[in-house]
Amino acid sequence: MFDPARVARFDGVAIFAALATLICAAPAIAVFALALTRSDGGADFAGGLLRDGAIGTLSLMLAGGLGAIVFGATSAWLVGLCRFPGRSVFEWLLVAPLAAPSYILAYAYASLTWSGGPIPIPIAGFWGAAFVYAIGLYPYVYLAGRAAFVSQSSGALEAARTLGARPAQVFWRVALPLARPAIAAGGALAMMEIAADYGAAHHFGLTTLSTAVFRAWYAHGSPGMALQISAVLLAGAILFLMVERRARGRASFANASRGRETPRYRLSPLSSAAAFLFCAALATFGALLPLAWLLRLALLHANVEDIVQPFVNSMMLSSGGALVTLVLAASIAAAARRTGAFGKASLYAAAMGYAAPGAVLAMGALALFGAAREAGWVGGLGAGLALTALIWSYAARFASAGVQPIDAGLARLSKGLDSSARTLGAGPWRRFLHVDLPIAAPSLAAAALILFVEILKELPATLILRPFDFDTLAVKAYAYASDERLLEAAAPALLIFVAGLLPILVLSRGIGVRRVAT
Amino acid sequence: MVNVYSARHYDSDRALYAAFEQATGIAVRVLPANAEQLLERLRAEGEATEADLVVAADAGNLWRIKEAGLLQNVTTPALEAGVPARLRDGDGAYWGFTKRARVIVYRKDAVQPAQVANYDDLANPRFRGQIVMRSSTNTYQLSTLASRIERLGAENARAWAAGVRANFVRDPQGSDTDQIKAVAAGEAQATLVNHYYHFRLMRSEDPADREVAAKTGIVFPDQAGAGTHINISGAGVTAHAKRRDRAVQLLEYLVSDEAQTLLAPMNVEFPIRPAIAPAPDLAALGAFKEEDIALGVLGRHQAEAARIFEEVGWR
Amino acid sequence: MSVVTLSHVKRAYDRTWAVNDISLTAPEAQVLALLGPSGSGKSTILRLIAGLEAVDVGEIRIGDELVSTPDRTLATEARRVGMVFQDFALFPHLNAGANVAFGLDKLGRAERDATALKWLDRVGLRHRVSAYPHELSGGEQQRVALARALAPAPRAVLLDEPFSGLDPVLRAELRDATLATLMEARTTTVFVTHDAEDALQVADRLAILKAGKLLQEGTPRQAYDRPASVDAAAALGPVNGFSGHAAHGAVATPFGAIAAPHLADGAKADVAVRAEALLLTPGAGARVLSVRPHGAHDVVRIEAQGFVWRALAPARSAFGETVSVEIQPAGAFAFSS
Repeated sequence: MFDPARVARFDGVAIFAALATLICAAPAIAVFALALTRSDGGADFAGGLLRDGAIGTLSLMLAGGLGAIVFGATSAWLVGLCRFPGRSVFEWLLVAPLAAPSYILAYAYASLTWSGGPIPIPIAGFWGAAFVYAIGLYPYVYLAGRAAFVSQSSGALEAARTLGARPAQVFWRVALPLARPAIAAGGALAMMEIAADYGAAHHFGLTTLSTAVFRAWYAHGSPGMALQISAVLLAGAILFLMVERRARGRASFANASRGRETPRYRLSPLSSAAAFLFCAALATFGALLPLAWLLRLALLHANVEDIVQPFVNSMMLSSGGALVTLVLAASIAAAARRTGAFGKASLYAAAMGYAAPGAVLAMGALALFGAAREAGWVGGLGAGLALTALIWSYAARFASAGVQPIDAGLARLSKGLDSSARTLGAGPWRRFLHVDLPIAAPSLAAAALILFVEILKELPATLILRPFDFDTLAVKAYAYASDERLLEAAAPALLIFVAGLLPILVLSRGIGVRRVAT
Repeated sequence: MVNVYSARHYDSDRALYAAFEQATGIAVRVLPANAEQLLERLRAEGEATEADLVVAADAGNLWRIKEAGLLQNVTTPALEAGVPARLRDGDGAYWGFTKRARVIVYRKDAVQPAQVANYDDLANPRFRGQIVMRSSTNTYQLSTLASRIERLGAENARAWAAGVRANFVRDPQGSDTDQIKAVAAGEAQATLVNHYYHFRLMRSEDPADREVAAKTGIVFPDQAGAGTHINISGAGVTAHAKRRDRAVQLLEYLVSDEAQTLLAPMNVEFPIRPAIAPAPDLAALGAFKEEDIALGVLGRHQAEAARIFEEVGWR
Repeated sequence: MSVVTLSHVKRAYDRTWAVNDISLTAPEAQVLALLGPSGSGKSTILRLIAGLEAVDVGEIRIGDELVSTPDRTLATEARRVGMVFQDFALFPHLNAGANVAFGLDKLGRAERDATALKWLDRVGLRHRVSAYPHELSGGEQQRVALARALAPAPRAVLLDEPFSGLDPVLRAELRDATLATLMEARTTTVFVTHDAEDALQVADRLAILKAGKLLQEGTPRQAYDRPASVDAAAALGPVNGFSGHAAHGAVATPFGAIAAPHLADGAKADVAVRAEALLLTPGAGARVLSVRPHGAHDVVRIEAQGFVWRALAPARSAFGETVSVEIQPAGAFAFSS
């Protein structure tokens, strides 16, 4: 909708947001710059790697992403709008897989199902990886879809029923089309995660753009080629986002929702059993089974004293990183609503990093640091600077994960509010601090929790940019797993899972609360 | 204080640094990460780096760091006496301090050790559809092929890689340990791994792991020929070390009798000198003939090895 | 078309009765209006009839079919009742034609499209068949919603404040058009509103509700002329209130006496006098405080003995500082309190 009052207003907030965008996009921009300038051989294989990697990434995004959408949308519908035994438990349990990093799920499934593992159906190869992605990432779709289903104008669903539509028909003909933008957004997040993932794809022996990046870097010893493949991945991410946003923009159903709770469908006994089994299977394969397996391994080799300090470090880094990223993301989201083309551009710029492997962004951050050092602005990468660079990389990587929910929260601001604040003499900062922020507070809290969990799980940037004698849980788990000591890796991996679970449960609850409030 | 960038994540190394600190009063600060990533960090840090010593787990990686100009040449009598010439850089940029062997692991109830006595056997058509291998992105695979390029030439190396590739059960997936498990489970007859992965399974707290080890056997290949491929973990002093003397002191400690004796029982790698006895279960396998090439060449041939792997479709 | 009958229906929210022992009949092919302020339970009654909520006590029938009892609630989709929601609840992802055709999925494609078009035509929106809800004006949305509810030939149609979001001019026009459409369709209609004028204009039968209770039920004329209580009287227009005592078959007020033959001498009485029942003529008796225009009438605030009443007088009547007041019996009611 065109609103002249909101276009091209470059006030203080917008300038701060421009700065935030620059900060978040800088490492990715550095990757582009390096890709153009740095060449160190091996180029004759770049074409083949790029082709196979692109095919691999696209097919995995498609298979894993569609799986996540089917799992997520179905469970969101069941939990959000139906009534069956166990529903209230599944409401939060279904979010649990979000706490598990893909690489840990991949390792767990490999040791569970490969070669003589306790489950004789090998989860391996392309379909295995697609399964691991789908079962690990469907909560993105579930969360978005459930919120959409629940906040749907109950009127539209009730109207459909008064017109004779049965529950299944209401789902296919009304609820699903209305929730489609939210489900697509959740699916897009899952697909970006798939594009950025290295650990699982590598362990399963697949060639994707991400594994191609590391093959170029590690095997061919050509960081230049790695950067060039990364640049393709980043450009692809922008393209993907533009298509996704465009598709979503055309189908945005901003609907005044009414203050009545949508009554849930009571399912027949047979359907109830099916719904229960479906949700139970998702929770089991996405969280409970790998969790139980890790617990068994961890108990075989208890190394508790090893993970206390890493746990503390993880908590500090995740909280600090989440806070910084939140502030940047909030200002980007707010500015995107106030300023037209500039705001859109900043959304894309901030989103680039989400589809990039963390190690590549870290390389970008390192290069920026190197340039600053040569210019004499900074000295060595001491502890303070290392942590700064690390948190910067987090912001670059995850800003988009924060911007999305905040943007959605700000979308609930009526245009009248901004105008009326303006007629009351509120300047841009006051409007941002006293109107935008309080109204978007629930979304801010949600964004903070998501960022916390993402950073908790983050590995590659942490690995390369952290200070001396500073291990996090993810680093610890990786160190052991990369050394093929799964028993030792289990305890820190388990702790990541558990530490991530708590904020995720809060997140899930919060959406339940909002259901009553809207 | 002395700062170490390390690509080794072993608990044994931490014990070693603690012992060094105990003996000298010099605190050791460690940053463990991937060798390739540490190289990028060193490159970006340039002369401002805090790192004094770099530890890596493969001669090829050490060679790359040296080629990037990030190591300085160090030669002392203690180092020269401690490390055999073959296991160190000719210029003194890096020094090995442990050895590992690239061994063939086979299924005991289906394969005779004599059938897998040589690396060439893995490319033998009799094993068509019966070999599993790890990805060639892994540096150990690259170094294995690099040594072959050095001794037998690129054409021979390519033929071998193509032959092994033709025997694959499936595309490479998982780690060295996963390959051993696949062999134990009967999915394949043989594979190629670093020796200590097999020993770790033998020592594992998980009974299932020990069973895997029991079902499989180890062969040190090419005993009648050039000898088994050997690689090192090694260390070098960074080009811009702020605490060069302490770094050299730590380096000398790593190859000292004390450190080597300390390391041997904890770790299932081979000590850098034959004079030090390896762990008892490792020593039980007896002495074996090692491939006699200077490890510096491994790095030089790595790019070509990667190219060959790419060409024969072994990723 | 079917009669809709509620018998002793109760429905609780948070331990208070939102609907408290309501018995009502919506006669076949007529319009029953439920009139009451917010919180009176009128919308809940509509949702109970639609099966969107279950009754706690009592029962609901549509025609001969028992559709709601405390034990059993026939699913909404099986009731064949049409409903027009307050926010219209048009499906934002479907155009006007598809919205109207939504409930016609048992028909073949050609017949379905023809029927939808026929109904759009009846509400005068044939030309808007391809427009999406956000492209329609408020009035057009209301008409599409009505066509959508009527198209499947429901046994009854329920209208939830269908005119409340619309501007006054449009509102009167739309009200007449809706009534015409309903008459033509000869549909049993239950119509919820808080607006007395809407109710009086549209309804064949009128039910006045307050706090979950039925105050009065009857024709609009009966309700207007013979209210059952002060509240019932106030529901249909501005009234002036007074509390006093009956004496000799009348209740004295500062503005004159009101006949109360049914009240015993000395009984406490509540009085309601419609503003339009006060006839003002030049003279003395009450002081004029203000005169304000109100359409065809002026609202005149008058004072006597410290009491202030409001009267409706023909516009631009010339009044001095005082007036003489006559209370017309047709608009003055006394109830025992």
